[in-house]
Amino acid sequence: MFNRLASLLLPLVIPALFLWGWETAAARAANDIILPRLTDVLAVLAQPMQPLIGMGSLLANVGISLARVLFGYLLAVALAVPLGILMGYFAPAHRLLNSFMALFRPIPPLAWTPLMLAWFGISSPASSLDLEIGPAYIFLNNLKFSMAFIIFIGGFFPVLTSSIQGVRSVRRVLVESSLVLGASRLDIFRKVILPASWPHILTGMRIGLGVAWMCLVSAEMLPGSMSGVGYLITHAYTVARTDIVITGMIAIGVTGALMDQAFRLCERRMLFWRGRS
Amino acid sequence: MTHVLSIEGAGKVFPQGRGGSVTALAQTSLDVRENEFLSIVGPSGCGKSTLLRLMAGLERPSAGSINFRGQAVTRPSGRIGLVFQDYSLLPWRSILHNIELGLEFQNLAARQRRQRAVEHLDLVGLAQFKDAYPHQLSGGMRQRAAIARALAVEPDVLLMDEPFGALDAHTRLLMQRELLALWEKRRKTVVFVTHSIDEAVYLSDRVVVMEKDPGRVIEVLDVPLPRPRTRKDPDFGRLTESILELLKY
Repeated sequence: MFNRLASLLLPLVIPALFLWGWETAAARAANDIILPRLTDVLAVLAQPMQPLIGMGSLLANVGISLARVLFGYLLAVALAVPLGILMGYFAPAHRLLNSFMALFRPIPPLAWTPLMLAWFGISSPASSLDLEIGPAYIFLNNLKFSMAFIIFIGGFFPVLTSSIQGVRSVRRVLVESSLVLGASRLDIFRKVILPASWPHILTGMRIGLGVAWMCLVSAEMLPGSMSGVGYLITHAYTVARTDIVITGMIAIGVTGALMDQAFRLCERRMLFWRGRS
Repeated sequence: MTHVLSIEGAGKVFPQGRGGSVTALAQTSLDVRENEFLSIVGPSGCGKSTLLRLMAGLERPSAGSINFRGQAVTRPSGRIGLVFQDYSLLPWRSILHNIELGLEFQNLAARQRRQRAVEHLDLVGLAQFKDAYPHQLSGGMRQRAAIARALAVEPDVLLMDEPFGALDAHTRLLMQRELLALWEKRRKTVVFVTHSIDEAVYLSDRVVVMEKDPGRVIEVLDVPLPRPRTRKDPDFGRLTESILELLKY
């Protein structure tokens, strides 16, 4: 009984100490710009639909950010998964591409900013489609190509690496036992390699989504950005609203954690066959 | 006597770094007879698995040839089945769908597939586990499913690579008896690799004894014991002894 209660309370100990430390420090600092009170931040968080510093509500900004991340991330997945499977399965493709990819992998996504601005400027799907008005314009104009590319780079490499790894780590006995049952090369690919590498690919997709989300703030600091949680943070900083900065950080953290958990849940559902090992 | 498989001077040399090489199997000749139960015994590294993989078409011989009913074996086909030691079932498929796997490769219609799979599940006594997944089954049940899967495509020869090697002693004895019952029911040619001399003598019509460094066949013995066999039979002990002697224990 006591043990269950203790193990239930245990994860709350550090957060409680943290919040207490924050509140004490804020009270002593007595300066909203250096460290706002816990209650000030909670007040902002409590009204996520309320417009903030002329930028729309917290929720609306989180929504815009999510749309941007998904745009760049889905492009990354659409390219990295097939490419990774090809490189994992087909040795010449690996030899052809791997050293080239290895050069780009270590470049932080943020380092692409100047190039992206030079190439894409503030163009968006809206400008490519020659839309100039209407709700579709407002939405599409928020998905700048430059931002999408930075998020794309963030998501691309984790997904690529794990797809290659996934295909390469398929156990040989699964392939061989199918071959002796009369499988063709296509059978092996469709019925053994793909499903067997799926767990690795899913893990890579989850990590890639996390990295893509982390690239958000830097992407939203690019010119042409007038919205999104990342922009909300930088804008709140320039108008000395540290409480909104912290609110934005909390929103990024919570959204990221929720996406990760949702992904893990899907993983567990789809990979039930792995058992508990 | 007709031969299903003839191994004619087949050997296997694996290249190893810096231009060196390892002889896994010295040139070997051996005939596998129709409907016989043939075992291959020998210490680790004697090339018994290599010999089996050559017969399955999973490896190409460095010298000589393997012939299946007069035709060279160059790659795996559904005609020569192979059961591995463990973990060869696809973990994301239920037992039923694992057994259907080989039938899918033959492009059998869904209904016939299901019917044949169920029939083979019954054969190995796993009917009530058809919807279970491999990780939910014991090692013995997984091996029964693997055997059913191999038999479902109706191969001419069933090769088995230490199929009971990962099982506990009790399950192993049970599985030996079940395998014999199956073999008597289906009358299929079986080539069975094991490092248990007792198992080989209990199961086989003939036992191939192999030695290592380099891997080679040193003797092929007939097992003239009547079936059903019992380990209490003094001839059983004598035969086991003579194999042990051949292997210099």
